[in-house]
Amino acid sequence: MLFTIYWTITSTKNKSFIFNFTKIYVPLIFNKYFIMNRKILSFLFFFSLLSVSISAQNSKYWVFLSNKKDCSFNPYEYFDKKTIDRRIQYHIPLMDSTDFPLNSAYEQSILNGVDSVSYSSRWFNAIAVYATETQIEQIKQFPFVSSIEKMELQIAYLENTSYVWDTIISPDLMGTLLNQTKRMGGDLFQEKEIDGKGIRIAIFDGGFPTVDVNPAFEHIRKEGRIIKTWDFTKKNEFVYDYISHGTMVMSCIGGIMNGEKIGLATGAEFLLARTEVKSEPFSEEENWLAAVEWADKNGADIINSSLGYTYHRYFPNQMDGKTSLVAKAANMAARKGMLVVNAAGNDGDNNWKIVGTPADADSVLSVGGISPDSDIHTSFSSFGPTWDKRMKPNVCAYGHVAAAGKNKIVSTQGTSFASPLVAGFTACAWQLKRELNNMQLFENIQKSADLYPYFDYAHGYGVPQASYFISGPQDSLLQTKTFDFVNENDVLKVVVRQEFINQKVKGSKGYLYYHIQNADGTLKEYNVIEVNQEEVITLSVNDFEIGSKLNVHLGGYTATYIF
Amino acid sequence: MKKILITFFLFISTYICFSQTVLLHQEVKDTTLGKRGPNLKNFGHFYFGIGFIMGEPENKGAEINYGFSKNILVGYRYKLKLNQVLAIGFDMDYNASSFFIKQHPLKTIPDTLLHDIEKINFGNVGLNGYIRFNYGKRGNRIGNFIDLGAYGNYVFSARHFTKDENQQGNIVKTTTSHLGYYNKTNYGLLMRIGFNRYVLFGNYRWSNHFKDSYLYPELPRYTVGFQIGFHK
Repeated sequence: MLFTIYWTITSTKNKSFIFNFTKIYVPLIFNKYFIMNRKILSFLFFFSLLSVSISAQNSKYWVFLSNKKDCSFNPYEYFDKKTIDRRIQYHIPLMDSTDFPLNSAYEQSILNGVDSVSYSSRWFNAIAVYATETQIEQIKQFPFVSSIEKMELQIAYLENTSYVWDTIISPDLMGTLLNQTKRMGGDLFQEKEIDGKGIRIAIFDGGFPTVDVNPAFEHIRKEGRIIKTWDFTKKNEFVYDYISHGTMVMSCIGGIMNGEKIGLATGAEFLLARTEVKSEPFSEEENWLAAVEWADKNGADIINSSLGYTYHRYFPNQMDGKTSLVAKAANMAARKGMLVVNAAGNDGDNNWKIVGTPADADSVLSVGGISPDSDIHTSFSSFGPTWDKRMKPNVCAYGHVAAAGKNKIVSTQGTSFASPLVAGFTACAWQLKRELNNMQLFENIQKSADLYPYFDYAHGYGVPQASYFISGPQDSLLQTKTFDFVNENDVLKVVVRQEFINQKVKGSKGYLYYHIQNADGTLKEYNVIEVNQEEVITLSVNDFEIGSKLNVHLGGYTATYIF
Repeated sequence: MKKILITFFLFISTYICFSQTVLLHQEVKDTTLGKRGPNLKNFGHFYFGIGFIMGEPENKGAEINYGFSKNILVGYRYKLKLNQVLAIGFDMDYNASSFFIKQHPLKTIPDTLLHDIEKINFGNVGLNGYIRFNYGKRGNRIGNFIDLGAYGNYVFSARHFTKDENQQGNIVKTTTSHLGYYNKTNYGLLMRIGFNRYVLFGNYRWSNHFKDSYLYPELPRYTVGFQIGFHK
């Protein structure tokens, strides 16, 4: 009970003060240690009504089961043909215990003991339920229940729909639109007519308003390439409303406007899942989990997810890729052959600063954002490393983009849009290199990036480049030496060759990237500088631990100095 | 001598190096979970609030206009987390109370004269202590909570205002300070229900505003309102 604090304040005056609530007779008998006058009781009563109304609500829980005894499963009946093909092609078992359904007797027992069941997860052998604390206490006693976790509830949100399409794109916006794919060498894919054909991409977001009528997606609709839709928050197929974030994200994967590609995978197939009700902080992990299983069942090759969970639910030390359920689910999706592309997060300029989850999962291709103006990390893009010091983000792309909104092309920003740009790129790369499995593709996407093998915790390996997949790694890397290390009396200098001073190299802005790497492989610091002179870095060798490294990158050339 | 030369050389080189444009510099700090944060050991933040005076006065002599009579506060709140459910803390605030006196023939505070507008303002600095019960799963944020506690105010300023329109159509305003009939301190109980940065609060003033010797009927004792905490 809430009010078990012993108030021992007494009134010395008998005042005729009456508040409305005090007119309610409360037949409470207190002993001599609980002397309280009516006014105090009414005060507490007023607030207890509020608090009780909060605490008496049913809560939502994950009930994890201990086994799948006596369950049977036929993958050919359950999975889409594309899922079967993917598993066969990449030598993934057609089924394992995580694919089996839950034990129906266990499910029924749980159902009988709670108010309602929201969702059952095969992968985690878990059931999402609405229940009271008393019901949960009873369920805990079932021998087949291994653990129970409480969830948070979501907040409903709706938007009205009324659209007139505006096809006019301002010159500035058109410039952004062209550059966001060009920066990844998208024109090379276009020349080769690579557009993600045959690749199925699942998008998890808060809604896809106007995707069913919007001219940016006409080419997809005309060919029936929106394979399936599901609203996990309302349990129905309609997803073409609510938050326009999903529409913009989808356009950055495969939209076309006025003949120009917004994203690169204009030939891909799509699975659209509405998993979020409001903006990211209030979203439901349960829906994400349900959607990833749905994506697997329906033959997804790539999952694009532009959500991240941070301080609302977690502490920074839980960003280790192992703690959150969505990180575990993302890793499991990777084990089943799908490539999960996830936004790094937009917390780079606030206290949280680091990537959220599931971008912290090691099998997730986490995408950071760069500014089209500076071509380096944009301030809001979340930094790595993860809590356990793994490099994140893995790659980056423009975080300021032109995207198809509900009724026109709009300028928008966030790593939410860098992620689908890379997802579209990934679909094209996979179309070209179908022999690669998901994690081999992951590796190659990293290798294709313009800073590779250099990396830092703001850019990962840089922006993926189509040339790597078209011409191979040899041609995509500029091997010309752009600088030298000079050590004179333990003073180490990095000297840029004359022809690379103030020069833009291979379309990049000609910045010099360098970091100090500890002996254990983690970074101590990293920098990006504009090259205005020959001697760009001067360091005293004695200041560094033996075994630590100075890695420097300029114009496609990376070299290491070991202290 | 060699050391001096190297130092000099490094100094010059560093100076030259600074002429480079550094576009991004990040030092990777040790990943240790700090002790200061919304759901960590220590946390403090500023807040703003407004409360409305509620309840009934002791008698008709001290009736007020509800809605106009209010308490505005700005303050700093500190929280010491004891465990995931329990915390204790204190607030320091500046708060100003305005009691708009209802004008009718039975009015007795501070006198029986009737005015177009009449109010008594108290300027307070306050200190309160509270115990906090958190509920619901949360990460590094304040989350949902219920606070119970007690407060005390020191009244550093009290003024009586009147406003009237005389027969010539002139507006006459009066302000009376150095009032002798109020107590320099007041105290009471508080309760808050918080949803992260949004807080509903209620105060019950236990003590009297007016000195016993003046035999004034006491003003309404409840304040109910909301606060916004300045934190994420």
